[in-house]
Amino acid sequence: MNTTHRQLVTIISESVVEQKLIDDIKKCGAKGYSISHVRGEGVTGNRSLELNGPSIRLETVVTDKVADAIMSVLAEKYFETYATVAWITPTQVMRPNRF
Amino acid sequence: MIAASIADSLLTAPVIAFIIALVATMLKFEIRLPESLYPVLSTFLLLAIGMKGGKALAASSLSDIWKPLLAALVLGIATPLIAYTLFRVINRLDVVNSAALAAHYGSVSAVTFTVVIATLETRGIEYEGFVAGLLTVLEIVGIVVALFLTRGASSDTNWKSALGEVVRGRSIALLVTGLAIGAIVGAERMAPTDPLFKDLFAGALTLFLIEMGVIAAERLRDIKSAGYKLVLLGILIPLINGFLGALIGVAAGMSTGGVAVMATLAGSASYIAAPAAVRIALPQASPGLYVTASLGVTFPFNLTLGIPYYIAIAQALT
Repeated sequence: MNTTHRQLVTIISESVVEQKLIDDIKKCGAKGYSISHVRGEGVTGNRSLELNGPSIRLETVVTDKVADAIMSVLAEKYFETYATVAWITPTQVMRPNRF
Repeated sequence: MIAASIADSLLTAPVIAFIIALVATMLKFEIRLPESLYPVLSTFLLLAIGMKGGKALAASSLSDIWKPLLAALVLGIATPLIAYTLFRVINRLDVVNSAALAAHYGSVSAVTFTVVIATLETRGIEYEGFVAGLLTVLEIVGIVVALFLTRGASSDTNWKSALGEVVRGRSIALLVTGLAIGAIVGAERMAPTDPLFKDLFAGALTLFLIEMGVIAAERLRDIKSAGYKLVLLGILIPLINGFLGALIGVAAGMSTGGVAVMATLAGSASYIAAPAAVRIALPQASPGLYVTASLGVTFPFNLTLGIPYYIAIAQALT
């Protein structure tokens, strides 16, 4: 099968920053994303805003360059202030111009 | 008289449901409602409160409203300043955390408002129907004033997105939607919707407060780490702000029920709109302080002892 390398960036963060996060990843060059609600526990154990909804998991498939840019923005604006984790997973896609 | 007032106000289905759910959760009973019910109930309640207020707005003239509206604005400015000062002086918190807490105490709790309305209706005390309009004003003003206090202390206060969070947030949006529907349609033509939005209201509120009891109990567990001064202020501030609200309500020429509502609005603390706005505007403030204080201390206090106290001072002053 003819597939191309891309990166899957997965971000778990607080639901209050959802819109801010979407704006930021788009600025970095992400063309699409999926968001789901998740529950769980991390080292910060931050569950302070459950009334505004559970945590969100944002997934976006992007090029290496965009993935790096997203990670830099997260490091600069999110990791210190919001309960946020993120990781990059190499992935293969068809129709690479979509990502 | 106050003891009788407490008994009268406590013995309503929503309040007793809240207390039982709170105690049962602390005893580790599993009584959580299905998760999906919570947003459905809160949507229903906010729309219903809005419609009720809208119908009353349609029936009142500007001359009825301008004084209570002005009173709400004064309260919206005064209550966060009082809370801020007390947290700074008594709890010795820094500017950012004091302002974060002030945003919660300056803003209002729609649920506490709903309970005082239900209590007044159970007890047959008249109030101005348009007070739901004042709720929306107070919810916004208190947060804006509190965030204003951090100007200078925090260079990167993200005003625009925080304000957007409050104004476009679910609670204000649904309240205003309800207000608009009620005001445009009017009480008479709204009558066909009454079996849903009016008759089921107290039942829906009771269900909702079971969930709130569970959530408040989970917050109560964090009180130990928050310190006794936070608990003390979580009770003292509603007493002071509530009394001020009653005085301003009397000055605005409101009825006994209206004064009780103003006192409740002034004494209540937000735990939905304010946390979201503060998290965005002041991310460095500790949610462990402001959510614990407003949801773990002030909300249960208001539901049980606060509301009877506000109704009692309203009756004494009018």
